[in-house]
Amino acid sequence: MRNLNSRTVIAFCTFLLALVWLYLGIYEYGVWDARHRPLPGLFPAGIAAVLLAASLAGMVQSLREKPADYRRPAFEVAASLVLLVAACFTFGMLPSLLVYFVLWQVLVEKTPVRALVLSTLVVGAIVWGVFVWWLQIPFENGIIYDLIMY
Amino acid sequence: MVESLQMLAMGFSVATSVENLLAAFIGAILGILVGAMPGIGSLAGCALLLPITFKFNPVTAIIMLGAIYYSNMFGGAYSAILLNVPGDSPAIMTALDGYPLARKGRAGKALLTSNVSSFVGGVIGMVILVFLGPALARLGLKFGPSEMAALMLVAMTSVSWLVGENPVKGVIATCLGMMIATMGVDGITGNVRYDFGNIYLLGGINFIPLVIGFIGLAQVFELAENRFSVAEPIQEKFSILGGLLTRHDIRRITPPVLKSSFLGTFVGFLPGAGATTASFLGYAIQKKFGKNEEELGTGAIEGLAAAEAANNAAAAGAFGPLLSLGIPGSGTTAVLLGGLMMWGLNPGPMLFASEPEFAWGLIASLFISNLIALLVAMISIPWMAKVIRVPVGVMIPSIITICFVGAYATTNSMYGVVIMVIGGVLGYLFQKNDYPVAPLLLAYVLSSSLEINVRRALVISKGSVSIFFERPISLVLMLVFFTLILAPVIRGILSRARKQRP
Repeated sequence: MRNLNSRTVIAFCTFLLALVWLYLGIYEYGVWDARHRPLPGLFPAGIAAVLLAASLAGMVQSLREKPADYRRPAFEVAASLVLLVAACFTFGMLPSLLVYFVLWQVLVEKTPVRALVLSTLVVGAIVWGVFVWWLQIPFENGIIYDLIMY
Repeated sequence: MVESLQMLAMGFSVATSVENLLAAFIGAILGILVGAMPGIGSLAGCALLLPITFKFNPVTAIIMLGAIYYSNMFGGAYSAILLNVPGDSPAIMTALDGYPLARKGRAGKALLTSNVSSFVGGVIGMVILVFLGPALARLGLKFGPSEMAALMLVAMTSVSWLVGENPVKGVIATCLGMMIATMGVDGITGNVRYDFGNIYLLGGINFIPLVIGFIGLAQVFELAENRFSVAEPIQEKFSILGGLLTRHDIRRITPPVLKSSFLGTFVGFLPGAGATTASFLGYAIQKKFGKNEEELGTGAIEGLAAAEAANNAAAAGAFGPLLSLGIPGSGTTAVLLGGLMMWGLNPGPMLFASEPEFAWGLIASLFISNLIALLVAMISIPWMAKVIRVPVGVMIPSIITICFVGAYATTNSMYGVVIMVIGGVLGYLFQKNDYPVAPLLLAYVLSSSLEINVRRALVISKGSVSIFFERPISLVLMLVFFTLILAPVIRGILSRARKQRP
């Protein structure tokens, strides 16, 4: 198990997923009816069977591969995305995005003030102009807004 | 032939309405800007800009999308030439000669050569598309469910095989794409499958947020990890006049441009091939058989012209199987197919007959977009250096913001955002672990059609799989399919045997 790495984990996850699909396809949705006509489970179960075999091969192959190299900035991005989704649900989408946009540049990138103001104005204009004004998307208001208003 | 020209003229009357021209113009500008930004590329560009088309009617929306797709190809060359960072995989070959040319102080000439070659390649590709597209659709009309199913299997397999170096990972990505697509309502019986009791999953996983995440958001992780490895841009002031091609330059690039344009178009027509394969082939043929004043790879405009003409011709050629058979040849055309389906249009053999205004309007708009993209690309040469200098630190939160609002706009709920974020993380893990993303997207968009055709064929044959081997077209396609599956296995066995030989 010395070479167990994210490549093995991915192949193992697809293996589990294939098992679920195969089981539901055969036992829940059915494969053939009495008159040899295909049922909704046939196609997904067939694909899952292929994936099952490929995932097994992938797991074996992954033990010979070099582990993937993950770097800290990717984890920063992932963590910020989770926080951003939570903030969107709580405080609303547009305010959360604005705060995120500014904070990321100030705290992580140390962007100069001039570039920060300019980029905020440009991206803000795109978001407001295209999505709010033109497409009239009713963006998420967030739990706090809903609690106050209703 | 005359009929095709008449239909094309009708297409031009559709495409030249004020609204459609404006859409093509805006699409061309946005496509070039996004395509030029290092690390984004045409696939991510199309995915990110897809939500912008929501407001338009289907024809205008697809015309804009076509313009975005096409001009992205022009834009991809900028970062390749000025930064040595190919915006997307077809631009890899562009960087080989484009960047050395720019380092020699001839960046303006390199950009203009790339633009002109792209334009000519595109025009040749489109002219061939006008005549071969309807012919392919007529051939497609002869296809029954078994032939269509076999063709889709070939398309999916060839993409898995061509895109990744690792067939096992290609198969995993393809199967995963198909399995995700089976969630939601079954296209034949109307029963709900794999919803796991979740109300949001009743309608399945929405393609647009998924693709925005898998491609656009995943790119952010890459940018964050590699933010310090972007090369210094060429510090040169560009002008259109300074980069003008001389008569001698034109004589040098004409043969490679013509050769690569024809080659690229036919490669584009092949399911599973596409612009990347075309640019590799165009460049390789120029290197091996072409007359080159300078050695390729050291800043020869012949190499640059060959690669750019081939990739734009293939981009046009890829519309052939996409419109005529409903088979996308690459990840980007899979996104386009997703967009077409979102608008309720089903590309396939019947499209030219049932929706001629749309099919020919789109083809005509490609000619217009190509011209607009050339003009915008040439005029913007002096400013492009500034566009590609946008710091990665600004691009990261900007792309995340656009991904969030774009994904939300698709579903009008946070469901789209959640799908997009999950897709982004998965896309990043895919990239990191060398899983190809294009087969997953292609499998996703083709899955429903493949399933319907497989099940129809099996109903006709009363459950016998022999139907896929009884008719000549499906038999040939199935043989190709099995050859594609078995080729890497046989190759592996042979190479192992060769290694064991003393």
